[in-house]
Amino acid sequence: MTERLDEATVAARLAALAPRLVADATGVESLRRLTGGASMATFAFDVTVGAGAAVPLILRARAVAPDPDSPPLAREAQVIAAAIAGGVPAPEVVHVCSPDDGLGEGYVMRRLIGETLGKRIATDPAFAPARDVLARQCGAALARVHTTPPPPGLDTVNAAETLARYERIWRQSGAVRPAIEAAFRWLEAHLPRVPATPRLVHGDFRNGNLMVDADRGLVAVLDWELAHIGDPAEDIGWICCNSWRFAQAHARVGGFGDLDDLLAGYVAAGGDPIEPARIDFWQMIASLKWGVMTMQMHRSFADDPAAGPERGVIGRRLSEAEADIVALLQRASRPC
Amino acid sequence: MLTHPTAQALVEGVAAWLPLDGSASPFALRVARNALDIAARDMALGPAADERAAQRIAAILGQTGSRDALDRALVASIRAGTIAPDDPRLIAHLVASTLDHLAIDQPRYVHELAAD
Repeated sequence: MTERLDEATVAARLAALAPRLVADATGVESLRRLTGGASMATFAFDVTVGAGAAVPLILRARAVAPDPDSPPLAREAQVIAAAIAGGVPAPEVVHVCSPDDGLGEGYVMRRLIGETLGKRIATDPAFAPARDVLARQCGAALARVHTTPPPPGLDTVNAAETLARYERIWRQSGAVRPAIEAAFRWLEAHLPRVPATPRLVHGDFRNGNLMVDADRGLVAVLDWELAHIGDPAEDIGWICCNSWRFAQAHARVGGFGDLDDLLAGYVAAGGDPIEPARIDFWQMIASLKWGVMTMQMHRSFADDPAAGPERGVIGRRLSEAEADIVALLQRASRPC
Repeated sequence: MLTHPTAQALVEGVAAWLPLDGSASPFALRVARNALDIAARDMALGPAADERAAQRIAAILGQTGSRDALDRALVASIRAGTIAPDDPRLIAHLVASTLDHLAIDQPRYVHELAAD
């Protein structure tokens, strides 16, 4: 059982660690907990180096005992290091915590400056210059992810197994929705006949996990915890999913750009060309995953309604996933 | 009928949760209002949407019944492969029913469905 770390403890232990994070460190200041998930804690802090200078860093640590299914954070750090070596812009990992550090399971990385709020990136007028270049930059970053030799120990995920797993969860929900049934059968019928050459896949490449500068565009690709080995089209379908377009449905890539620009950047950076049909396939899986997830939310609402209606309301967002799936079925049945 | 949750379960959920001591946060109250709005739209729009869906499915399957029974029969036919997932009659029905579902659940969702 990992202890839950309070800020004072983290501050003291980071201060002890500081000389190993930054040469000539004199101390740690401005420690603050950032918003994060229930199982992970993320802290921002600065390591001071003499008069007035500071190095901005992030600590990512497991806040509670790890779920046995979740991969070790040290592996996530290895993936980031491999991706950076492969030319992907990502926050450099400066230290992987050992038990002696007293910080639990975690690692320290550089803190970069940029916007991560997907809605601002997709809609804020100040980000118009970024939107002109971002899809192409995302394509180049993805090409480099997909040509990076994966570090050892990553799971391999393929489309057929993903579908089978989600269909089991769907059946357990008991929901009767012809659109979702049609999606499972359509995807089954359109499984890639030639399996993709397995590549390093980011696994959560979407608007919301990108750090963006308003003028220069992509600063870094974040949130590598779902990295795995699989079909590179999975990452492209994921960022095209309408759930992440922030009401900018016309901009297929993350609500900020066009798929043609992403694919041009992808091929120019050395990625193997990817057929559009394969991207549609993975985009439908993305919407289907979101739809199945809404039913898991409904389950917890049904089990404990007094906890509040939030998860029940998320259950009613199945209709969004359904609309996105049916739009893809409609388009696939009318080739233009 | 839309289930998972039903309109009734949404209303019951708000009633079971709503604290009487003023302790609910503005965010939680907004979520609760959203839940009640969904339930109200479901009650207003659901019966006619069910009627339209039942007519469309009856025409596809050549059988009659309630919308819920016809939905189950349609799912069974798609699962068994007797109706292909890209059958144009099925897709036309799915477009129409999905637009009805959005009108109840998420009327402001920006989607890419093309209404025929």
